[in-house]
Amino acid sequence: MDCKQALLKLYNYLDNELDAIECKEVEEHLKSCKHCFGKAEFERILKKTVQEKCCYEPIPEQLKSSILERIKRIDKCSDSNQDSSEEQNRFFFSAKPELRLDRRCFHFDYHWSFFHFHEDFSRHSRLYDSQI
Amino acid sequence: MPDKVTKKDIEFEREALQYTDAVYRMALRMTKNKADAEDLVQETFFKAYRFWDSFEKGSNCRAWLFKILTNLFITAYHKKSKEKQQFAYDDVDSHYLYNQFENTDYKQQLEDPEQMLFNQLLDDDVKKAIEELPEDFRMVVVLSFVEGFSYQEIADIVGIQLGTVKSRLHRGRKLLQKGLWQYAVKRGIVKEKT
Repeated sequence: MDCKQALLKLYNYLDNELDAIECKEVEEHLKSCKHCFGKAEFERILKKTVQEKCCYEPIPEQLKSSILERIKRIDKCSDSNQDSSEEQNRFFFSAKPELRLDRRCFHFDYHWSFFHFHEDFSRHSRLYDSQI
Repeated sequence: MPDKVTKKDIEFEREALQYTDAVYRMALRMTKNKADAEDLVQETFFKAYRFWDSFEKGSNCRAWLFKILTNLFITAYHKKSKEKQQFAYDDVDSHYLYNQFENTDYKQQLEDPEQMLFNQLLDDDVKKAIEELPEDFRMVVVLSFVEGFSYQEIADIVGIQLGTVKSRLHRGRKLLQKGLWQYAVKRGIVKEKT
């Protein structure tokens, strides 16, 4: 394997997308070529740095508990076959007025899928899959 | 009203809610602000809960949640932001950062120059560099770099061909490297040769 071929496969190598044979070929080349090894190391550290610098950003506790709480309320409403438009309104029209239009879209979408889902799941399953 | 915990609740909490941090992280990078990210996360889990019965138990729940999030983002936020930018990415070389880096005096001055360069970049620099990427590229870069999904998983999550994942990732990488270089210059970590 020459430098050109090795560099072509470098990103796939770093992303663990090569099979065992290709992987070995690239590694053999990197062992014997200082120039390509330098590039590969640079790219490897770069990828690792981006991952490390972006990974610590935990969800705010308040948001997590409000998700839990809302999910439990939604469940109760659907169990008793009640449509919880008030609940969903609270959910979708929550804090940010500039997003209200979008919320309304979701709102209708949920209603639609909710009814069909309960009415006859299998008949609508294909459509329903595409929604997800 | 008595609290009724269903089997579905328990399952959902165990399987899906362990990924709240990852979903929030992705939402932040895509929407670029906390308020929208919080909404997007809520919508994602709300929808996931609604459709929990369709989740194939034992399959990759994290990927499934990311698929829901990506879809919600594309259909709602994408329209809102109308952020279809045209980027002249073709003038960016592969290994951009490395090549730039090789052309500076910085490399000769230090024992472990790469590590020094990357350590001096702030978390915020990296996040901003990612957020400045065009949406399509940003999505695959985050899924690959930050979340570690395979190319095939990314193709399934975003709903694009494997080849498209590769090309977006390649271009995204180039643009990200250019962005990071600009932050390194801005921070005075490296000096651009004039």
